[in-house]
Amino acid sequence: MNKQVEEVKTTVFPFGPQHPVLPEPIQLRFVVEEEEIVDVIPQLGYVHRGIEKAIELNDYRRNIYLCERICGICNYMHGMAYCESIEKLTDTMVPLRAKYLRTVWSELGRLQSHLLWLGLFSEGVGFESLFMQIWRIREIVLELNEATAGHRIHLSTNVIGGVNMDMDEGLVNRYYTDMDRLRKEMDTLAPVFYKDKAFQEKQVGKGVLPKKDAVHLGAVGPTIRGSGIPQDMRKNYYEAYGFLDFEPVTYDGDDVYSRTLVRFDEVYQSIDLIEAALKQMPEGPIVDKNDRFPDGVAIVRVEQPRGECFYYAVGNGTIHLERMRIRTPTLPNIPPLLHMLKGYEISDIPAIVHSIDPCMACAERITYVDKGGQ
Amino acid sequence: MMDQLALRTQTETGVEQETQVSPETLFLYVNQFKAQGARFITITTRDMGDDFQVIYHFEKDNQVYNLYMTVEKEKVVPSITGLYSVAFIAENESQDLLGLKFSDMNIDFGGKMFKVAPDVGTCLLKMVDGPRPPIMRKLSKCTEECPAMVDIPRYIRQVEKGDVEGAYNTIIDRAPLPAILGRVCFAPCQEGCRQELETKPIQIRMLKRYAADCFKDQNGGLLRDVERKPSTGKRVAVVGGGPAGVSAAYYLGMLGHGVTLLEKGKTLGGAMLWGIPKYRLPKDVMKEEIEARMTEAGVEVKPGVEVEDLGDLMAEGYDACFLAVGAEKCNSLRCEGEESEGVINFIDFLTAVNVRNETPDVGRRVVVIGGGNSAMDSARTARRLGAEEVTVFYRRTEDEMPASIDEVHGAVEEGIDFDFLSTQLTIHPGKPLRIEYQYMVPGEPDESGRRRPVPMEGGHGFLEADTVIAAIGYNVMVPQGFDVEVDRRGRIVIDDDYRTSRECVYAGGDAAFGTSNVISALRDGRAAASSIDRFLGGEGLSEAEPDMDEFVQRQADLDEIRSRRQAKIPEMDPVERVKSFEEIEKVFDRCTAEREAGRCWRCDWNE
Repeated sequence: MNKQVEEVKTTVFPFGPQHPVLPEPIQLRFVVEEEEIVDVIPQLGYVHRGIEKAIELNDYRRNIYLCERICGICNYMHGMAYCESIEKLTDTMVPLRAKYLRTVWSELGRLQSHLLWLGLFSEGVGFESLFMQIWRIREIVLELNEATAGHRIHLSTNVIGGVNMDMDEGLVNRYYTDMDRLRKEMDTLAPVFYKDKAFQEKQVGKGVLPKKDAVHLGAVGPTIRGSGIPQDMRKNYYEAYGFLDFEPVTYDGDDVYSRTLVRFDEVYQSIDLIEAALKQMPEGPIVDKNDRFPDGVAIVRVEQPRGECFYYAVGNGTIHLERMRIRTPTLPNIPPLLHMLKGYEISDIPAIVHSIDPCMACAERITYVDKGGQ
Repeated sequence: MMDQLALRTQTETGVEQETQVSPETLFLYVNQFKAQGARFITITTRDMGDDFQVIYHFEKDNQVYNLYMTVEKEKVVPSITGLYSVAFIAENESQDLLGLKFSDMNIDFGGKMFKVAPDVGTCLLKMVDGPRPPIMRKLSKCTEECPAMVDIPRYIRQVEKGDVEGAYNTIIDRAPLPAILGRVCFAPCQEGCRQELETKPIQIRMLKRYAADCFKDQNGGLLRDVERKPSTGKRVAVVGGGPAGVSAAYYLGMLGHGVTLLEKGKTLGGAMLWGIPKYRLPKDVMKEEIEARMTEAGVEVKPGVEVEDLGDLMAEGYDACFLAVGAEKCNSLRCEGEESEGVINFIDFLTAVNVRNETPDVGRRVVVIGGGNSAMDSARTARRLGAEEVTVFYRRTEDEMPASIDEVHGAVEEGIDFDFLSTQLTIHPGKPLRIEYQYMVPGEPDESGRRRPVPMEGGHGFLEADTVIAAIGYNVMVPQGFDVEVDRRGRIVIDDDYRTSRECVYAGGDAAFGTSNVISALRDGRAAASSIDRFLGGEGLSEAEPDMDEFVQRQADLDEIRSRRQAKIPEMDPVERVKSFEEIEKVFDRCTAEREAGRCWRCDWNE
């Protein structure tokens, strides 16, 4: 060890992989001087599953179900992004109604993800009843999922070229009423988020990520929007977002509180988007099937609840894809997280770690390693 | 509705821009992206069989820009974490899971990112525009062992990267004669190499020679284009043109002093000139390198000037003086008949051959008395002059011989006999000479720790020889006119700053430390130059550890490196080489040198 390290008395304590605050396994080893965090060492690899390699080995049509299982929370958007990439490789034109349906269901996925996070975060900063309240509200979305496709979490309605399930008049009406209910329920909780002093104490000025660092460190999603940068992949107008009027939610506080408010406001934004999309949705076919094999290179970027998800697909005209690269939003948010944590105290760790909404299961699908059956 | 449809089509086109890059041009593009404020997305690595395709994805103004790079599987890709520190996760992924190797990553999990490993290195996430990380190097064993503290790991890395000019300059930073050292240095560094334990140390000396010879080829000569410090107006006299004198003159000249180098012979080189045979150090290489250094440093060389009196010299207006007069007084055999015709001392013998290019007739049988490197040189030179039977007499055992192992090994290969534990009693004059000798047995250890040989009873013998060469060491003899304090063995007394008892006069090399080796003499010259510079009002040369700022990274694949064999030194066949004075060792070719350099474990990497 060099001298500089020897002179200062530091302690290293592990945080995770199993910890009440962490929803999924990642280990962060904190190097602390008394209470202050001076260094963070991440250790990944606890839930590594090798999905990228598995995708290369599968029939490309079966990969939808595999991609949906990259992440339990963003399942719908993973399946959708995979279908979009294959549609680009096979030159498939998705019917307009299918695009609207995908948009609605994406936003439904965002709703349940954000509500899940708001609950977990509330518990993380010590507001247990708020956690219960938010998760009670989340039930509205889950029941809507069940009414749509029969499952509370996995909608699994994507197929290459469109969707495999349509909505009838009754279901659309149920969407309207439920969105209304959801908005009213959220209104009752809004004062806690906007005004409660105790709730703010834990967050304001913690985990500051200045605008410049957020860009350099490549933050995505609510993390970068909480630093005041309106970066939102939906503004690339994939699916039906081009027909909808919305602006990315941003807050300028650069801290944990800004990121919380971004997510809270995005719940309202999603409700609005679902209602607007259902109003505009045209009649027509929902799927366009063709038998071409994927060929060429495609890049798809979609905005997931945690931020930009990046799909890079290479097809070679066979039933197998040659290479699939998936970069989920948690991965680029880890370096900003390490940066945010430094200089704060141990008691701030839960709030700051939570503020990027870490989802390790998505981050660690990377590659399948076969070293002689090890 | 029409507007909205137009909006939709607009965004579906032109999402990607692709550029083909190579590891060399990668930074050019990444730098551009950084300047334009692009965001790093990720790296995709594709296994293409023989190659890896590495694709860097960047985003700027909502467009994706891809940099495609194809590299061979063995090649190491430069890390972009210096520009985009966030790339460390993507690079570690590729390194860990696909085996793509990156160099100089700012956070390297050492291939443990996705294996639940007990330990990874520190992960201080550097600020993007912040200061560089703390010291990442430590002193390696080889550098510690080197008397001159040459930054060995660094020049080995430079050789590996093909930067021979950089390697040559790195060596000169501490020892100004790499081409000579690459041939004659006894390489204590190789004994310090940690791979010595596996009996395959890095061939550090040969890599040094490769760097020097290769630099000469590239540059068309050893003369570099370097700048001296501005002139200080001070004048320094250096007495003696051996390694210590040359080294001091070079560094003093580079520091901006006016240096005059006084040498009593015609050619610079000192003991390197007369003492080292041509088959080890071709004299043209030596002359060229010394001349190059003297030209670079702007040293005024005055050959053929013998200094007898320091008072006269200082009266010429020098501000300081450095004495490096060397050691040239032969020890006597201390036996009867050593004055006989046919008995010569090795200094006269080697000087005749090496300096005056004479070929003295040594006859058929030659006896060399002594066990040091100079005895080996004398014996091997005699063999090349046509002697058929060359015998080395040494009064102790083989293990106690001061000569280096390589030298002894080379002598044995050339058919030289050794008589250990035998000492000369009397040399009977005549033709041939008859040497009466005595067998010895090891006795009690003396002050040097070696067992003192004592005569064996009844162990007498006679041997006939045409020539007897006395090579039992040499000593310092300082002229009376120097008027400096000397110790009982004639060496000049100096303090830690190389100051003698006389003001403004410094000394070093063999004259102050007794007979030693080239690298130590170069070290003395540099240290004394630094000391003289401080005396003259300068800051001196850095005497601390070599530059520790360089960012060092662990080798990518240690397992593969460990399995590599040590490179063999290309040598002439023993039968061929005794026929002439041609250089025995040949230089490494580029492939061998770079592979050998790649074998380095990088012990200077501070984890």
